[in-house]
Amino acid sequence: MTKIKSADVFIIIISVLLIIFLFIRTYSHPQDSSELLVRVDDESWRFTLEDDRILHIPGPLGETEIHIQDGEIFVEDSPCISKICVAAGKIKRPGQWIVCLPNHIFISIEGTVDSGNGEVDDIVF
Amino acid sequence: MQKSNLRIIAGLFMIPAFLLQKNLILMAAQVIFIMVVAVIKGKKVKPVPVLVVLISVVLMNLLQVNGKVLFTIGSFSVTLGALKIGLDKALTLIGMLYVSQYMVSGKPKLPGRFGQLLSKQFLFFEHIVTSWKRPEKGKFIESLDTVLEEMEHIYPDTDLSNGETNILYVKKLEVVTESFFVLCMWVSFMVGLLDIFPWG
Amino acid sequence: MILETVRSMILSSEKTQSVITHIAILAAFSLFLSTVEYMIPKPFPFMRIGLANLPVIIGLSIFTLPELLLLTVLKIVGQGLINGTIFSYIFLFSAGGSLASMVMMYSVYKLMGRFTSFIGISIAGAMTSNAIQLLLAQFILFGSSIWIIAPPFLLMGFITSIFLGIFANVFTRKSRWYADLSTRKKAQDTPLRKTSGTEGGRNSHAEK
Repeated sequence: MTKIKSADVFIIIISVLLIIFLFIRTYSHPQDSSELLVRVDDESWRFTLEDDRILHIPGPLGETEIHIQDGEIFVEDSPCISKICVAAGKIKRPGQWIVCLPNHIFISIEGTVDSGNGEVDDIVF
Repeated sequence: MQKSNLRIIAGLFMIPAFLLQKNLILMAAQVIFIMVVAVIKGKKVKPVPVLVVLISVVLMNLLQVNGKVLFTIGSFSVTLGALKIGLDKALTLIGMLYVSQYMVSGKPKLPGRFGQLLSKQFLFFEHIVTSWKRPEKGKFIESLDTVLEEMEHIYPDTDLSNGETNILYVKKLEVVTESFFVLCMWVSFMVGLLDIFPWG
Repeated sequence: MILETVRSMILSSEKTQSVITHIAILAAFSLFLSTVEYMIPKPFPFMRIGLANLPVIIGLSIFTLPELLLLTVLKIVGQGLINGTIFSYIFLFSAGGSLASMVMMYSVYKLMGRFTSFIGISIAGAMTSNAIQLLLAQFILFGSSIWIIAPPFLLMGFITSIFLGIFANVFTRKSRWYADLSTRKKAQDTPLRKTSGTEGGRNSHAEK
């Protein structure tokens, strides 16, 4: 009843391919977004690592200042005496963590580890 | 000032007071307020689409976790920060929609030849709506043709400005009421600046 | 800049008064179709079928680019006013989508018009419109999480645009009104060609 011409088919094919590609890309891609998880006693906070941020997390001793910068996390300052948490440096991969025991603060990175990018962190003899 | 353009101007004044609002609770109040005003002016508010927009925008934004975890469903955490951002965006969207509805409720007439064309468009639109009858099975396009051809002949290319001889001008009372509405929005905005309410 | 083109077009329209009327007629149909679409209940208010693009598609074969632009602008502003969305983000999305889609469809029509019916044109327009709407939604409102609904959104647009294209094909073939309009338009556009044709005929006649 209605004529379909050659370029119609061409456009249809391109569009279908595009849509299939989008479906695959969006839905089967493993969620590789890691999250920062901060826990204090029974409260928790979660943040994405994409945006640079400065967080002030309240604990029993006071506020601990945590920085998210370029996908890395470190403790800038904390009201504890020994400041081990500050000295712990930066973490950036899922599974890594920093603790400030006096202030009851537990900082970790959660997320799926891309098996393709798995690196050896440490070799212990 | 022409009556039809009063609300456009009032609405324009309302917009900064709404967009710059810091406080979420007050923003929600502004949205409810403008929805009520729109209804007073004759516009309909359909609750279902509004709710759907609200929920879908908030849900989309909750996907980007950000802030204190309020509760968790399965592996999905609802965070306070993301919730605030989602509410902010959803309220902005809905609020601006109803500000537009309010602005348009006075049946504005755009000036100039484009405005005339627009009026012509609306004239034809009304014709289509009123005179297109449900077509029979096989004659859909013919019924379309009928309406289309009708429009060509019934409305010759005359200048539509003849119909505008009854330009209504605003009465003082109207200016006062619309200004009152604008004032309410601004009061809400300024209260928001004071940091009295939470969720700011 | 768009406003300038539109304004200069209207100002120079003394001769083409009836073309302007036809643009207004099609624009009015756009409004009608968009009202119909609004009344169809949909899961998401954002999922648009794009019925209102049908007059633009039909107009491709009748109007010049400035005329098409005028039609699109009328359609956008008319929809904004009638739906009362004119100062909201929704208006921005639909305006962006409509303009981008019109440009794309016009390009496809001009470049590949001989090899494609309205189906292909309609699909190209719908995909462009949806893509632009997604991009605008991402930057203005939703952030990158909008792309989660992108695949079904594009799929819906793809399917509905096929039906729109089929209808446009059928309409341009069967409609009396359209046939009148396009012959009238062709006569308007080619007065010069006729005279030079007869001259050439006379010359070749004389050579014989």
